[in-house]
Amino acid sequence: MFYIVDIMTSRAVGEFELAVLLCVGLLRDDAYGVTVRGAVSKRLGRDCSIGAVYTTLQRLENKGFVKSRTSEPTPVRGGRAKRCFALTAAGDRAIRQAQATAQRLWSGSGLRLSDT
Amino acid sequence: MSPALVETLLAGLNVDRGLRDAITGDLIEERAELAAVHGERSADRWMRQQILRSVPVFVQAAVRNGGFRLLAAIVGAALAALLAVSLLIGASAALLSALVSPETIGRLTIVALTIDLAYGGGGGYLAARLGRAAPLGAAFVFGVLGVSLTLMWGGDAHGWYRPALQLLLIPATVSGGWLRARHLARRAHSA
Repeated sequence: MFYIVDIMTSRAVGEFELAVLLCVGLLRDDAYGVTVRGAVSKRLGRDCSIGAVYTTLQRLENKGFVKSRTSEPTPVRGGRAKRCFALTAAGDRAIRQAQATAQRLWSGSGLRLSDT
Repeated sequence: MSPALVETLLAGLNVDRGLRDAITGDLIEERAELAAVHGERSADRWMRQQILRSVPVFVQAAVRNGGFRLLAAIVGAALAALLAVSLLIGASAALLSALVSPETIGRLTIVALTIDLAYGGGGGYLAARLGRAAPLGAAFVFGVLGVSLTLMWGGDAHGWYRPALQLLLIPATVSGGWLRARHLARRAHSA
């Protein structure tokens, strides 16, 4: 029982995790720290720290929702490599599940923003 | 805030080498873009803010991932360093009292404070070395334990000696930890 709850908790996706996951999927081959941070900040309407983005990306990688590879170092980055991220099949499923859950929650609620 | 400083800080927080490289590279890249548009000062301010906002996030992530084991590793490293430094302080105090009269020692308060702070720095370095899971955390806890001991200690030291030691001990131990983190960052870079 506790094992099942633990698995469910570890596979669940929070709001910020979903935003990061979505941006990694949208950025496709250009998903790395700078672009992901920019895209997440734009979508959430607030400036996100690089630390928040990377710790979330690491968590998503541990959950198997994204995979990463290291690129070649470049002079514009002071000779440091990029860590590029890509969505996995499990990550893609997690996005669709989150979308379906949100739709189920909202459908038939009859609530509009002006009512709340 | 220079890239070397960022790398040292991340090494001190036990962020792995690949991630340190990626984060520092990202900050350099984005800072250069900002400097071209808004100027150097604004870009520097942005970088400082990014680091200051990111440190608590890395600490929180480390605590969440490490849990009790991380806490045990930090406290264990700090206690081991405290034991080693206590033995060294005891030995040097015995040697000093054999060589110099108590009246002379009483007049050398500033020297005693400098020696104790040097031991604090050395202990912070040792704690950071032993506490690999969180080098800066181990050095900080070592400092807190040291200050706690000085609060409990009822010696008849010179008036200002004890408050000065309590005030400066944690910065000294964290400096020792910072030195260890710098070694780690440099070693990774040269490898």
